Amino acid sequence: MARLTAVEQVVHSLEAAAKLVHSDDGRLTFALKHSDWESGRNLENLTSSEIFDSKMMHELASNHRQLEYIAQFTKALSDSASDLLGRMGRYLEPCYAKMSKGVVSLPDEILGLIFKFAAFPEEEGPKYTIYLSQVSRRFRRLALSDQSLWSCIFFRHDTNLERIDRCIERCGDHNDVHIVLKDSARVEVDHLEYLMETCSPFASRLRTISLFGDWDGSWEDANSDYTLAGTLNQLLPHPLTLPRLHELRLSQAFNYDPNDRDRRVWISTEEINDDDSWTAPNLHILRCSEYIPPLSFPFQTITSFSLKLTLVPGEGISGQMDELRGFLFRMRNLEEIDLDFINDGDADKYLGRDIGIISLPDVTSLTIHARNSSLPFSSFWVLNFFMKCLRMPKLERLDIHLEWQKSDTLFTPDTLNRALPLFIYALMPDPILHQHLKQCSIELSHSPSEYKGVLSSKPSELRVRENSIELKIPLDKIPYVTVLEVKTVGYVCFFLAEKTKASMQPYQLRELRLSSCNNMIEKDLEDMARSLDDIGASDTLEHIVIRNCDLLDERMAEAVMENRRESRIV
Amino acid sequence: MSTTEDKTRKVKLVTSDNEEFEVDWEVATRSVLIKHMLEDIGESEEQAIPLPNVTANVLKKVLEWCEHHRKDPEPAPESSDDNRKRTLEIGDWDAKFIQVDQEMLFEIILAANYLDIKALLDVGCKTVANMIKGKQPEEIRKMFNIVNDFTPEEEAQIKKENEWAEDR
Repeated sequence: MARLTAVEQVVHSLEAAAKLVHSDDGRLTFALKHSDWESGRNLENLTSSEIFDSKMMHELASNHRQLEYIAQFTKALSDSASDLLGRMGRYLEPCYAKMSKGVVSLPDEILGLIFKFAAFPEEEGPKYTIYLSQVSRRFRRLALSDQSLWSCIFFRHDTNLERIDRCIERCGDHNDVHIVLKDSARVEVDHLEYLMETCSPFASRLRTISLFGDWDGSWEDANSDYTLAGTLNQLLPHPLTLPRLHELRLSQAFNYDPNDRDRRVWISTEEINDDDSWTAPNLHILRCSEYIPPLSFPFQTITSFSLKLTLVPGEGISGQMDELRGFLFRMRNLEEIDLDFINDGDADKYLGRDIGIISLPDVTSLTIHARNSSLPFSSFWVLNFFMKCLRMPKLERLDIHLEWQKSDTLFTPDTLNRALPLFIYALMPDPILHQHLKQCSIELSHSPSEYKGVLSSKPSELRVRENSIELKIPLDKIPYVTVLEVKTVGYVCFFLAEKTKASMQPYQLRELRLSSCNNMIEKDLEDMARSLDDIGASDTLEHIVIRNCDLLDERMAEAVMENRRESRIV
Repeated sequence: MSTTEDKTRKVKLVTSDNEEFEVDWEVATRSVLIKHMLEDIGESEEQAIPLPNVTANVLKKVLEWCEHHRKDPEPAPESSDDNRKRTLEIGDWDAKFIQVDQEMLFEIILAANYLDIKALLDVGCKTVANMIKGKQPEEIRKMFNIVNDFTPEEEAQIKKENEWAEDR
């Protein structure tokens, strides 16, 4: 530091001597002449009599040495500064290059793709696209040139009507159009009339219609319809031909008990007055959230149905299950069903009522997520009864995801291991009636953060605990499955739920995929294979595929398969 | 459809800064560009594939992604942009993988685009989209060092439009 300060002092002195000049164009110039040096002045003023003066000669020789030293020194200083400049350049140039690249370096098509993602979710309408269009000229050009970014017409009680007109203008003449309607107690009948009038000219381009309902406390008003069926009853009488309409989304906010704002209540939907005023021959997808359409739901062309539903304790769960069964019973053309149940409290311990069989003759794919589930220590688990009602003779694919609730993580692994197979068993359909079921995936999980919170354990302790959680799969419930994918926190093994019946089954499991089984080790893999041998189901198994498992790899899987082959030969 | 022979085959890749990488065929062919180039050169294992638009440090990162996703099913060719844009969700592993500085993020996006790895391109684009989603124009400019090149008149017009954006 001291050296640096000395160098700086010298530089400052030289600057002063050199009469540093800052020109107007920002350049620096130096005016350092030989006469600025004392020895230079002496040399200039030297008289002929002084030339041979010994004292003067001595002084000049001394000055010469000093100047030689200064020249060497400044050359070293100059070389050092040049070297440092070079190093700085090499370091800074890539940084400058990268800084100048960034988002603006991306080609238009990639930036356009980012805009498509950033415009999501559509519940916000074109708001985010408008923001993007105001960043720079290039952003504006890109945002305005992608008509699909403006194709979502958003409408709620206070929507600026000018916005709708501008969106329609910007989305071009041929693109698909998406309608999002946020209905609430503040949306007047007149508003919906206006919306339908606005939609009429481009009805043939409507691709999706999304209805969000949020009536807050207004549902208590018994004189009005405050479910999405009420909204549909306002919209459907307006005749529309919708050849492109492909998807309908119905999402409703929770309703709460007016005397206890923390308690959810389930409000049964009213019927829809079907007067066939909408012609939508290609409407195939129905996505519902916290809303189950009534029996009178008019669109029988639906083939794909998904539902996200929070199971409401008390009377709620009873109504929910009855309405869901009724709806499924009525929808005869369904091919894909995706049910996402989120348990609230002990709602899922509801016993259910026997309402007979729900025949779903064309369903080929069923997905069930059971989140925040309580552990089924007995058969009193709502999904047990629900699944027993379903008949899906063409079912080919079944996906099950179970996530148990945080309070149940207090149980020991042994207790969990007794309860978890009941989950799996309950969600698997009767194999005799579902012989086309060829693909199955089973996922078992808990919420990691909650788990840690309850146990106050460190990750390693959590891992030890998870490691001993057993996912027991009753293979006799899925004897025709050829590809089984498993994802679990612990390890996997197979067993027979009903040994006497099971011995009659020809198991067809060919490929077993272990995906993100992060606590399974090689020995667990061997034990899993042995459990298959023990129930006589190992003959058909050809592959064990490992995907994203922390402690397993393909080599281990191949070694296990090789050992099995060798032991069979022996 | 890959054969057993393909699975054991190695592929050499050479980056713009002349670094050579030897990777499994299954990993390299996550890139449609490399897959097509391999089809063009046939069975020659010795011939290295030049990647003049990708540097070694970026390719290393891209190959890390390809290695992790080597078993993923190939994306359906008919998957339209409409389906791709439906969600902004990124898987846990991908979210961790893409936690890189901005420069590397954009280089990964450019490399994924050049190498034609749609799933990786989506991860990168979704990450940027998550960064800018819902942000005001000035915040976006600041975040990415973008110059506001609108004239004052245009700016005034845009401010007017902003009023339109703020209400519903």
